[in-house]
Parts: sequence; structure tokens; C-alpha cells
Amino acid sequence: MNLNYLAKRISAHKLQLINILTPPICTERAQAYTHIYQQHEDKPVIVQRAFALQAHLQTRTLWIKHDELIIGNQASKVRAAPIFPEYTVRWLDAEIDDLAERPGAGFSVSEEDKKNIHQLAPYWRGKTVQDRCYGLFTDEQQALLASTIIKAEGNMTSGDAHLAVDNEKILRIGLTGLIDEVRAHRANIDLADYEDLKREQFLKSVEIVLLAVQQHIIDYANLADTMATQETRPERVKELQTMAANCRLIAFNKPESFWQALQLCYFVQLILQIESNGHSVSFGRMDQYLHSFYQQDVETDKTITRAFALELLQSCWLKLLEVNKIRSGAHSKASAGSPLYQNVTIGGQKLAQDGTPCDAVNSLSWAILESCGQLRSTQPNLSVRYHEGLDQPFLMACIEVIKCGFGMPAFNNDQIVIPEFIKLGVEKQDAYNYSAIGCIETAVPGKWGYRCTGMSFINFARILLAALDEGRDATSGKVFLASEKSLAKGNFTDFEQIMAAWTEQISYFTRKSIEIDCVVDSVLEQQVQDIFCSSLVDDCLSRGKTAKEGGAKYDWVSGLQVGIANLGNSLVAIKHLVFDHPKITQPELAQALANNYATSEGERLRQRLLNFAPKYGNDDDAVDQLITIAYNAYIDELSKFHNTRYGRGPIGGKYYAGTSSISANVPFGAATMATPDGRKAASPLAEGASPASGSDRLGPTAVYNSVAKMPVNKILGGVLLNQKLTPATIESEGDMLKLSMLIRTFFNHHKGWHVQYNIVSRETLLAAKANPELYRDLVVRVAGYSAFFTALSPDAQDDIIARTEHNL
Amino acid sequence: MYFDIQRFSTHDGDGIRSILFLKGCSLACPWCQNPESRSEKRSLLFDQRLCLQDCQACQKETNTITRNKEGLIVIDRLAIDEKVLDSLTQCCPTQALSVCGKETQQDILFETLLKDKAFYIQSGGGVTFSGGEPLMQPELVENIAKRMHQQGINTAIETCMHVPWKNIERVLPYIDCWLTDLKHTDQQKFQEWAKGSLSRIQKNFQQLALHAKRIVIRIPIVPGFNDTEQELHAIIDFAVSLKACCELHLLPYHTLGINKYDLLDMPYHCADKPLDNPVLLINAQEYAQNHPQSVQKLTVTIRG
Repeated sequence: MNLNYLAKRISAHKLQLINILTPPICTERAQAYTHIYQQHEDKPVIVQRAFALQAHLQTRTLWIKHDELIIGNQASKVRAAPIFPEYTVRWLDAEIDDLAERPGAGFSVSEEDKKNIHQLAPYWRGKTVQDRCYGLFTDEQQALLASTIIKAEGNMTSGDAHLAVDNEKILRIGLTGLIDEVRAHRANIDLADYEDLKREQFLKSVEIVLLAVQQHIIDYANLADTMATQETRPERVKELQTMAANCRLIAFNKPESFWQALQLCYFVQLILQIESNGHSVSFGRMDQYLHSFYQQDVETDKTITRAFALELLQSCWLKLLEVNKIRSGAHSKASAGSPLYQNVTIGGQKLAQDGTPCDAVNSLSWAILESCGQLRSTQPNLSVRYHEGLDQPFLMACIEVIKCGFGMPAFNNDQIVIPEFIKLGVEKQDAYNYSAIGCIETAVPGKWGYRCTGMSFINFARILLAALDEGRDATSGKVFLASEKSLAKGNFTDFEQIMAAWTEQISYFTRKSIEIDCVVDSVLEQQVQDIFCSSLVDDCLSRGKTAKEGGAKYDWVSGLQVGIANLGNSLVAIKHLVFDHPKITQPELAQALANNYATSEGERLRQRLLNFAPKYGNDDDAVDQLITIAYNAYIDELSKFHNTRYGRGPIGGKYYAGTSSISANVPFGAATMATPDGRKAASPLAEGASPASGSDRLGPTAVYNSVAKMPVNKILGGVLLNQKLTPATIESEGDMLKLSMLIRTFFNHHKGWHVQYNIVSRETLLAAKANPELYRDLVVRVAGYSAFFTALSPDAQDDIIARTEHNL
Repeated sequence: MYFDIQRFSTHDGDGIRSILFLKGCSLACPWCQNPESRSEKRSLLFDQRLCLQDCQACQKETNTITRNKEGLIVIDRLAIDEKVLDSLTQCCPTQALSVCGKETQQDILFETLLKDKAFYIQSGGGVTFSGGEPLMQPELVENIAKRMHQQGINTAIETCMHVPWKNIERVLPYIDCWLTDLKHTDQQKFQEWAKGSLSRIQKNFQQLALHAKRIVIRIPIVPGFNDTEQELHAIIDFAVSLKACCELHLLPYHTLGINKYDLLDMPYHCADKPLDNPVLLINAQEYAQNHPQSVQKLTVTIRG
């Protein structure tokens, strides 16, 4: 591997992209969709959407720039964020005029853009997903959302996504093959049958869309040909001609070369993100399904060099970086750095002919790893599937890439994911083919419905505060579920009663979060069918259903729980210092919390809470076990519920827990008053399943031991662990070897779910915060994803700086 | 008595290790970066930066601690006895004032050290005894090292060898790797700086060389004490003469622990800058690697 090389065109392209500080927006999609929806108001929504996508693909601006080798653009300008009015216009209409000013998530909006948005917004009011959700919510649900204890804004202002489609299949049969399959299903439709009438609308829509996609790819071929005639450099002329020829082939047939195959996968990826603004659209196991093409071209026929194959990959990664998404001001805080979380998974195991598992690392796994290590971008989000038999040189190569300091690759552990999936009812060959989706969550590509994580967010810390005060939310003063006891009145007779109050409150909020999901899911199902996406998810075509209607083979979902470490640390502090070794009375604690530890007495009390109570992340059973008990109260309640697809086709149809809190720990913390773990009001909560910032003092082994005590096998939405290491600690070969041993132990022995590393020194981060212009290319791990550090808001930057740095 | 367990240590012995730091040392090297380890009794550390201004917690416990006119804490260290230390142990909310040193309960220590067993086994690591001088508590080292061996866990010890031979002999069967300090070869200079007997150390070395499974000799290179080519050559010559030793660590003087002298109200007499003499280190490394008397080629590492 040579990680310190980057082809000229790639580095020039990258430089262009990372210096776009406030990207533009693009209203082409919004205008086309508005126009077509209006024109076809008599049609079922799904058919309206098929025509809208078709029209948009036909009319939108196409371009090929930056001497790129993979082509396809999401919007009319580079890195422009398209507008998806059918999901929401509410915040857009209100915030559009001030978008450039947003810290960490600004967009530049032209006067014409503003005019367009204000013009089309009235049509959508009352018709969007968000508006219809609010039309369905009860007053109580609305109040809960307004309180932000439960947050579902991302879910009702965008598509679902969080999945990988069946790239393997499209590579195998080509677009024409897929259309043939649709037509075969349509041939069996009986229009005298009610269910079939519905199926027909879906299948017809799929056919419209797939034909439009074919034509769209031809349009790119024409563009490339035209550009070739105007190009003066002979090398580039050849490239443009090849890309044109490639497009003409893959518009219909299965690809024959690595270049064609990668290009087809990118078109699929792109159109998924034009059809819907859902994020975490992932590639699945790219090193597996593209390997035969790579092997043939690079190793057997030698039609392209390995270096050129790396350039192709990098060109594709930069095209992923161009895809952009605009979120509301509030929502962009939870997704710091405008991430799209487009995951590529490599490594792991595959099943041999006789069904025995073996290491799946191949020459393309190496090439993908190296291409990402050279590029050091935020996209793709690169995950490596770990298993005990993972090739040690490959693991060491991963560490070499980690050492580059952009937070990748992250590791998922086959040894927990596969057996737990099989226990759930996932078939063996499917379980062995799982991939990471978005950040750290996992699903089977092409067979799993949306949002294996990414349902409603719940703020655990605020719910605990309510449990400690008769059900009163400390932030809003509102009581959602009244209970009898409060610290202020000092009427908890023992710690068991604290736990009982927690269980009561969390059960209530869990139920409410599912109710909210139920509303959002039903509106998404009826209003914003993903047609192209469903055509590439088993068994949507044979069932004649979208994934949201229950078309997928598997369908488990997970929400996100924020503030897990704060919950545990708070509970154990109360247990130790109020009940077991009473040093603080209940009213004293209540008072200190209410005052945000502001008085000097309050500060002394806070210091006691910080220093004299155990903290999660230090391998201390007293707190680690308490976290499990408290978390299980949530998990047990959750297991009682179904999602909207239950009993409608998929295996599963249920919920499990998940901790990939993205950067929501920052805005959630901002809305949370002081907590009994000594955390002051408004400061960030702990992120994912990681210890609270600065509280893990015994080094990484103790952190691993603590994390492993969580009920990991029930948190299949992912157990996120971020660790920050100083660059000096993995300088030598010996240090890197020790890190590999650390990873192996965590996964083999502790059955850890996931781990990822930030290797950037505190000094560098502080310098980058002070002089952003010098550090535009600095990529850091935020949560389950990486972002450009200087693109983060100042409070998200501070949160990353504050995370404990371990010296190996 | 011990004062710390440092987990995930990767620079004192093979693999991933935990280090048990025992209290008390028989030498008084002025370059020591663990000054809180010297006394075999508990020590009181005070960090002004963490002290809350209007807090009276410690003064309520003892009249040996007061605030001066500027409001700063003043400790009458001579008057601090064991009873006062007891009362201060869980007193200071911020731990600006902290008591260093805990009575050893062997079972608890053993259990704590065992917590990272999986990491030791995976990485070929284990437990390292350090200090202070761990061999001032040979019974404790013997007990825990023996139990680690029963668990299949590797053991190492960092020692200055300035202890009676019987203390070494006692733990010999249970120690896999000896990380032994060799600081000088001049009796008088050693006595002046480290306040100990070099001949005792040298005799122990000669004995140990006959029995130990593996010896790594570590040479701290301290400005003004032994940072000349001549002195280093003499030390290396002695190391080579032991034959049983085939690994050498050259440890350039650093100042990472200087702050702790302040916390203990102890004066610091050594250089305030780390050793900056890469040529000396490289020459010494070369000298040792190509030593004519060595039976087998020495592995020489700078910074261990």
C-alpha cells in the first residue's frame, strides 16, 4: 500500500469540492415534481411519483466535470443540495432566506432560488409528509415532539433510506433484465382483483421509472460523446468516448468491465438519492460483488492497471462527496457536517460451496482500502467486517489507514452480528452477507427494509430527570406522565424506588416514540413511495409491494437512544452518594440540579458527584451493571411493539435497540438541564455507547470491558464506540501491532459490536478550530461517520475536542 | 502498599500489560519521575489548580491545613500523621488534595489485575510489577506473580536491584522478564546521586544472571550523571559481561513527572529539560550492538 499518493486529477477534484464552503441549492427537482404532481392529480400517488421522476430525469441539467471517470450528477451545480418539497416545505419556506448564516451547515441561496421556493411552497402546504404527520398526531404526541424529548424530525422531513439495495442483482441481469422481470410480473396481474389493482400501480410505476433510468444513462452517453468532440486532449477524448460507450452498454445490458460495473453501481446510488432524500444509502459489500470484474480487468486480462482501478474508485468516492442534502436548522445540528453516510463494507466472511465460512478479503478489498486511505474523504463511510480469521496483514493495513487520522475504517464484528441475525430468523447465507448501513448499523443488502436504525431519537437523560421529579420535564416544566415521588420532596425511600420511577417513565416514552413512528411510517407509506429503490429490494417485485408496504424479505428497525452513559453515571451517583453512603440528601441534590450547580456549595457537590461515584467506561461493575438494568427497562418495553410492516410479508417486523446517536448528543445535551452525574446544563450528552467525555480514566481496555457488559446481543441497531488516540501512540510497527491485538481481543473475547478511532491530536483540533482555512481537509470521526472538522459547528467541534484521548 | 494500577501499558514488557506500582524505594535518584513512590508510607499531593477557592472541606478535617492571606492552601507537612491522612482520603471534592497510596489487599489486587486477562492472552502481555522498588515488598510480588502464573499470564518486574538478594530469590521462579536498571559503574558517583550501594546492585546482577529467564537491562541516561560516552561504555561493558542479558534499553532522561514534585512540596534538583543528545544515544546503541565481548548480538532499543 502507498497511502501517500493521489493521482493529479483526483486531488484537484477533491480540492475543488472541499473548498465549497456554502454549497448552493438546486430547485430543478422541486420544480419538476411540483409541475408533474399538479398535472397528474388524478393518478395514484405512486404513479404521480413515477411520472415526476421520469420528467425530472428527462429535463434536469447534466454535466461532466473535473476530468472525472465516473459520471452522474445529483443537482444542477457541483455539491448543490436538491430540494424535495413532497417531504416538507415548512422549515424551508421559513428558513430559506437565512440559510447562508447557519453555523456549520450554511448554504448559499440565490434570489432566483428563493423566488422558486416561495412560489412552489404554497402548493405543497398541507400535502407534505411532515404536514400530514401533524394532521395525524394526537395533541400529546405533538407536545412530546415539541418538547424534543422524542425527536422524529428527520423521519418526517425525508425519505427512509438507511439500506443497501441489490447491486449484485443489477450487475448480474442489467436494467433490461430487471425490466423483463417487472413485465413478467405484470403479465400475471388480474385487474379484476383488488390487491392486483394495487400491485399493478406499483409495477407500472417501476417500469416507467426503469425505462426513464435507461434513457437517462443514454443522455449521459450523448453528453460524453458531445464533449469528446470538443475536447482537445487526446487522452481525455478517449476517456469520454469510453464512458459514452460504457453508458450505452449498461443502459440496457449487464456490465462487462470493472469500469462499467462501478459506473452502473454509481448510477443506482445516484438515482436512489434523486428519488428520495433519505440518507445512509449504502453500497453493501462492494469488494464481493465487484471482485470478479476487478479480477478479470486488473489481474487476468490486464486491460486496466491497478493504479487506474484505484483512480476509478476514487472518482466514484468523490462523486459520493458531491451528493448533498439540506436539513432544517434544528436537524442539521444532529447531523453535524452534512453527512450522507454512504457506506461501503469490505472484508468479513463468505460461505464456501460446502457452506463453511471463510475469510472474504480479496484483492479488491485491498484496493478499496488503499483508495480510501489515499483519498481521506468523508465518503464513502468505510466499514470493515471483522472476524477471528481476518487476515492479519489486512488488519494491519486497516490500522495503517486509521493512522491517517480520518476515522476510517470502522469495524463491525461478524462474531456478534451473524449469530444474532440467525437467532432472529435471518437465513444463514443472508446473515453471512450482511453489511454495514450508514454508520454502524447492519442489514442484509437488497433484502432488508428501511432504517435498520434511524427511527425516533429518545433523550434518556431528560427522561431520568423527569423520573426524579414527579414526571416533570426539567427543561419545559411539563408533566407528561405524572408520578408520585421527587428528590425535591425527598420521598424516595430507597434506590429501588428511583429505578422503579425510571422504568415507569421510560416505558411511557418508549410507547410514545413507537406511536410517533407509526404515524410517520404510515404517512411515508402512502405519500412518498420509493419506486426505483423497491425494484432493487427482494421481494418487492414478486409481492407487488413497495418496501414500506412490506415488500422486503426482512424488516427490523431501531430507534436511537441518546445519553446512555449519562443515565448510568447519574443513577450510580444517586445510589452511592444519596442512598448507600449518604453524603448528599435528596433535596440537596434536587436543589443543586435546579441551580445548575451554580453556587459554590453546588460546585462542591458537583465535584463529589464527579469524583466519588463510579463512572461508566472504567470497568466498574457498580455502574456497568446499573446501565444494563436501566437500559433493559427500555429494551423490554420495546420488544412489545411492532413496526407497520408486521404480518404484511417480511420476516421480523419488529424493533430492537440502537445507540448510534450520530451527533445528536450535542443538540440533545443543549436541551437537557443539569444531570446527577455532575454534567452541567446544556453541555453535550455522551455519544453512542461511548463513555461520557473525559470520564474514562483507565484506558481503552477498561472501556472495552465496560462496553462489553452492555446487553450487546439485544442492541442490534448497533453499539457505537468511539475512541480517540493520540498520533504518537501508533507510531511504530509495534504500537500498531498492539492496537491490532486490542481490536482482536475486544471482538473475539468481548464480542464487541463496533469500534472506530479518531487519531488526531488535541493540538491539531484546537489549531483547526482557530485557523479553519488551513485545515479544510481535516476529517474527524463524529459518531458512526466522519466529517470535515472545519465544517462542524463550534459546539460539535468542542465536543470532539473534549473526548478522552488515550495514550497507548 | 501500592499507589496505582496502570492498565493498557504497552511500553514496559511484551504485549498489552497492566502495571502495579508499589510504594517505597531504597534509592533516592533525583531524576525519579515518580516521586510519590519513594516513601513507603502514604503521601499527600496537593494541586493548587484544582482547589476551589471558598471550600473549607480539608480545613474542617484538620488544623494542619490552613489558608494564607492570599487564600492559598498551606500544608504543615511535618504535622501530617496517619490519622490526618485517614481523614483526608475522601475529603477534597475536586481531589486537589489527594492521598496517594493504598493498603494492599492481595485478593482485590489480583482480581483487578486479572480484569484484562483476555488482552494479555491475545497479545502475549501480562502483569508488570513496578514502583517504587517492588522488591521491597517481595511477599506481595511473590503471591501475585505466582497466581498470575497459575492463570497462564506472563509476569515482568521493573527493579533497581537495590534490595537484599533473598528478596530477589524469593520471586525468581515467578518472574518471566526482569527489567533491571543499571545506572552507573562508579561506586562513588552512584552513592552521591542515588544514595545507594552500587556493589550490592552489581552482586545481585551477577547472581540474577545465573537464574533469570530473561533480563532486559535499562540504562537511564541522565544529564550530568552518566551522559558521556565514557560512562555509557562502562555501563554497557558491565551489561555485556553478564552474558545472560541480550536486550538493552537506553532511556533518555525526561521531565514528564516534574510537576509531581510541586504537588509534594519537594525540591527538584535534576535538569529541567529532557536529554537532547541523539548522537550520544545512537553511538551508544552502535557500541552495544557491535560489542566485541558479547556472546550473541545485543538488541538495543532507544526509549524501551
